[in-house]
Amino acid sequence: MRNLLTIIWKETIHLKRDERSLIIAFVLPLFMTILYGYAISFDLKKIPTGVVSFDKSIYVGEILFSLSASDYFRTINFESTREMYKALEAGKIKCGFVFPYDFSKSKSIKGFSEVQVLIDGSDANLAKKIQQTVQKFFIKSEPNVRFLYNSELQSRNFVIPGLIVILMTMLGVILTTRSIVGEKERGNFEMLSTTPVRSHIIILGKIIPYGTIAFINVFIISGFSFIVFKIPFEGSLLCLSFYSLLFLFPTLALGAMISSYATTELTALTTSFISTMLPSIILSGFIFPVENMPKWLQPISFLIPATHFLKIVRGIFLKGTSFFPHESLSLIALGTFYILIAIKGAKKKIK
Amino acid sequence: MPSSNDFIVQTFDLSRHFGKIKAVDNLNLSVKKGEIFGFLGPNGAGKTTTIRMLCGILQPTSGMAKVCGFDIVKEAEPLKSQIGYVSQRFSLYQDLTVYENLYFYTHIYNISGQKAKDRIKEMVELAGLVGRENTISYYLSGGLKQRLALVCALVHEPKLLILDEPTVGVDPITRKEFWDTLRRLANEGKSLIVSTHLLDEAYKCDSLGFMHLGKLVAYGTPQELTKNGKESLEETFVRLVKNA
Repeated sequence: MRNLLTIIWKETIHLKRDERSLIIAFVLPLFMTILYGYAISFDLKKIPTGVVSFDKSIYVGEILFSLSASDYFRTINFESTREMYKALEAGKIKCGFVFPYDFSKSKSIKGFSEVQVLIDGSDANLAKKIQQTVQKFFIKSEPNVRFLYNSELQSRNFVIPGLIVILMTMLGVILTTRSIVGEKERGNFEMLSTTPVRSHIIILGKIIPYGTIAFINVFIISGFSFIVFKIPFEGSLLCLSFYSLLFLFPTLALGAMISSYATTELTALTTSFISTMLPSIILSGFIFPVENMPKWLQPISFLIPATHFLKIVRGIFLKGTSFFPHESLSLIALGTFYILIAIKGAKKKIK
Repeated sequence: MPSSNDFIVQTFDLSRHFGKIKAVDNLNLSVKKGEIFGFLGPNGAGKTTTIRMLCGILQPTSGMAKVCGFDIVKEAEPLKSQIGYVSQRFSLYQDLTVYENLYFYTHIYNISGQKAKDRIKEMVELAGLVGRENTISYYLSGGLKQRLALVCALVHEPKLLILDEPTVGVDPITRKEFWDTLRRLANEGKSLIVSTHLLDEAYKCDSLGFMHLGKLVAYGTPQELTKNGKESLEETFVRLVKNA
């Protein structure tokens, strides 16, 4: 126990004197939050839209006025379809409307079906979004849909809680592996193993300070996004703390696992990036829903601790849920699994 | 016939293989208490592997060894508080101060309170670092770093001190001072194993073991090995390597 405290003490000094780690620990998370909060938005606003109208009636004028008055479109008028195609090709506009010359006459029979809508399909996601927006605009008779939990469907409310998960993964894995493997590389670990201190105490002593930093960051980021971005927080702080600690278990275990196999800081960093950071961003449901992934890929996303914690964090922030039996069990199972592999790797080294 | 009590280290057919490579091959080595044993041999001879086994941090493939009376496999844990180890790259924490390094090692060896304070003070004096306690180790000269690494390995008053090529990259004057310190420690009753490939250092040892390709090819005092000075150590070793 006393040995553990000694190692934690030493680790804190390292951290205090290492600017790079301090930046990773405290500046990077806030920087990412600001970046994600302001820059990354999946909501469409002011789509540059071309309009060619062969019908000069008042009726079309009204439609065009309401198009440009809405938040969704920014209209640019073209004289011919050919000019509009050029603009689409150049990427100056993302979609275009063509109103035929007898539009106002035929509309009573055929509704809006005579309007030709052209959408730039080169960015498939964007194109889908534009299609939805266009449909929403022209077809007024939608079923009465009410969105629960994130009533304005703000993507920020969805992304920021997810970002907490990604940042915790990053801090937990990268900082611990950096510190453990760094010590190995400089030969200090070997020196320590000639002393009576047991190796699991060394690892634990290194994990605890960085785990604490990841834990503190949960509250820094949550507080910051609550105040600056007005992210709703429906659940309880106690819940968030409890599940964050639970999430740290598999995350730090992953860090320990990578460190027990990697011999240089460079391999450790690359491995943690490829095996942890990338899957946590791409496969966890942070951006793309797990349900949309092919069946064979879904088990992989199960192995990523972030997948489970994402559900928990979004539940706490947006729904105020406090029980996550499935996710909790998965986190515990994954943590145990990774720790066992880590121990196996460490033992192999000695023998 | 000396009894086993006279030896600080005894190995019996000690071997360590890495795959097909026999890094240490049936090594039988005895080191007497209270002397400086020079461990010689070209790079890759198996010195470091042997040292790591003697420290209890690497398991032998076969054979056994007793260090300070402990079996290196079965009693590795109690053994560790009896030995001090200084590795090739002196394992200091460069971003910690002199005092912090010593504080860390005393506490790792479970020395605390007043006793730790006394010990640290003593070690600072031994290393000649009085007044530099709050200097970050990184800013110490190579020689001082080396002395600090040495005293860090001495905080717990080990019976045996194992140094793996401790004088690599140190200037001759500093090296001489360092060896004076080692001699003083031996006179105080500590046993020392020093691996080196610098032959002028070999003359300063009480006895020498020469390793080549995982085997001990020569053993004796510098006098014996050089046939009472008829040939230089250098000639001796070239002969040994060629004959092997």
